[in-house]
Amino acid sequence: MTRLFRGWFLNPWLQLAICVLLATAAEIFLKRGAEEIADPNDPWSWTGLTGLRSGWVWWGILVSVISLFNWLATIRKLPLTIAFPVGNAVHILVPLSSWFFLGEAILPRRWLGIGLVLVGLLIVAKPAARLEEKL
Amino acid sequence: MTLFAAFLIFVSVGCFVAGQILLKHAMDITARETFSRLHAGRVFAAAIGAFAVNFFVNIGLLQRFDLSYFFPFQGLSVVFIAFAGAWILKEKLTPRLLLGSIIIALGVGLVSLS
Repeated sequence: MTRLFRGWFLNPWLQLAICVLLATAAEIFLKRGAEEIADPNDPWSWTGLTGLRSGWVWWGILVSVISLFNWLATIRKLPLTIAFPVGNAVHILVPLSSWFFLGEAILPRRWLGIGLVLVGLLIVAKPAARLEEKL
Repeated sequence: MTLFAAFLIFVSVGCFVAGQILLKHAMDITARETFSRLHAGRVFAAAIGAFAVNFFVNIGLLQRFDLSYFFPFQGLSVVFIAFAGAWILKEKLTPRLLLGSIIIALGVGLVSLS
């Protein structure tokens, strides 16, 4: 049973899905944290260092680190030319989560822009992943 | 968006791409049979530094912009990688890379106007 669970959990596709979900969650946490401490009049706020005062930002950091290790585990088993295009699902999940969890109003023009970015990413994903492997 | 904010987005995406390339370079060094720990450590530290700059600049930007507005700009990282590849590896930009880059740039342009 344990072996079956471990085999299922270590499935690279599941790892990739978890990685995408964690990356999305990290962005939401970081945005919540940034909102919590936002002070546009403070010139230091541009540096982002003031963000360390927010617990949400620390959660965001933790989830980002877990997501990074998850990504490294994924690309050990899946070629980058496959993992990279699939990982672009984050570009759909983040705006959807911004709308759903943060209540951001996304006008049609922004949706169109987001859609174009996604289409562009899908077109360049494979050759870009190959280039990244060489770099 | 102010010119300063646009500059910071450029810095953020640039640092993200630099961090990715340096991290991969550090991993490649440690995969060799013999390697200098000091050299690998320096490259790894530079990667972490680039990611840290990217992270904090992002927090600064997120204080001012919606996540759904700011996030699509990160798609530009792929365009940066394509051009870095062409520049560093002297590779030719394929029509597919050029087309995709133009579409991403158009999408980011539309988002920035929203």
